[in-house]
Amino acid sequence: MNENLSLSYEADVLRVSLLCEVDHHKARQLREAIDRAAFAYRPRVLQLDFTAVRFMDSSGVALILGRSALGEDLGFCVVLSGLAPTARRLLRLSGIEGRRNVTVRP
Amino acid sequence: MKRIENEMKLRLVAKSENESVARSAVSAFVAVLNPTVEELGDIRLAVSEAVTNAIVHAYGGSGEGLVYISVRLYADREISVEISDKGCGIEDVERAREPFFTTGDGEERCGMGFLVMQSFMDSLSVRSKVGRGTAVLMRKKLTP
Ligand SMILES: Nc1ncnc2c1ncn2[C@@H]1O[C@H](COP(=O)(O)OP(=O)(O)OP(=O)(O)O)[C@@H](O)[C@H]1O
Ligand SMILES: [Mg+2]
Repeated sequence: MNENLSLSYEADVLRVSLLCEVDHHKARQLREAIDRAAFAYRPRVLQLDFTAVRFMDSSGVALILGRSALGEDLGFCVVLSGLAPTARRLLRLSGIEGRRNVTVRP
Repeated sequence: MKRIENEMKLRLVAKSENESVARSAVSAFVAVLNPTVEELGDIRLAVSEAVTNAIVHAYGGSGEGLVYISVRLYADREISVEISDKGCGIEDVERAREPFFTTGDGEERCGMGFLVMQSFMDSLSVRSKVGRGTAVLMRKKLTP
């Protein structure tokens, strides 16, 4: 089990709820856990839920960008939900919303 | 010279678990000025970017070396945060500050750190010397 995130899979959607602060210190563990699940389930949608995330920096942006790139290879799109205002401003600055397979949900 | 009302100096080993320690310490210190939630979020983010750069780039992720943090609160509600290291330094600061420029290709990086510091604080200045280290100075004026 992983205390940094929780995973569920249903109807082609791999839902990952992030449960820790998303910074450089946590990024690798998160990336490895998400990618392991993505390879195992081969979802059509990877939903990353940030509702429980109290902090995210540019390491989180890189994490999302990397999963978007993986999605292009494996054929899934990335849906982001539950982002706090500061994280939303950070994402706007990154231009990530312009990527074809990334959607930001309110 | 503006009068300094309060000051904090902190020295942390360049280990990645200290990224959150740095954010929390600076935000606790600044909290006496009653910043808005948004302002505090901006400061935490900028501190995280600068400290992470010192850990990842200056000391190459070795977990060794020290990160120096100095926070000053001024009478007019301006705060300054200086984060410095004695690491490898930056050869071309202007280029390093360009949005999305990164030298970190092993781990996933997106070259946004300086852009974030600049955008979420009022000002950013970067001094660096190859082989000596880097210092970033950020300022932000809190709303009354
Ligand atoms: N303290 C430092 N010591 C040495 N080099 C640095 C330092 N800070 C930044 N750099 C250099 O400047 C570049 C740009 O830094 P910036 O924070 O903008 O992006 P990044 O760290 O590469 O990616 P991100 O911050 O998005 O994870 C880095 O890739 C690195 O080459
Ligand atoms: Mg950086």
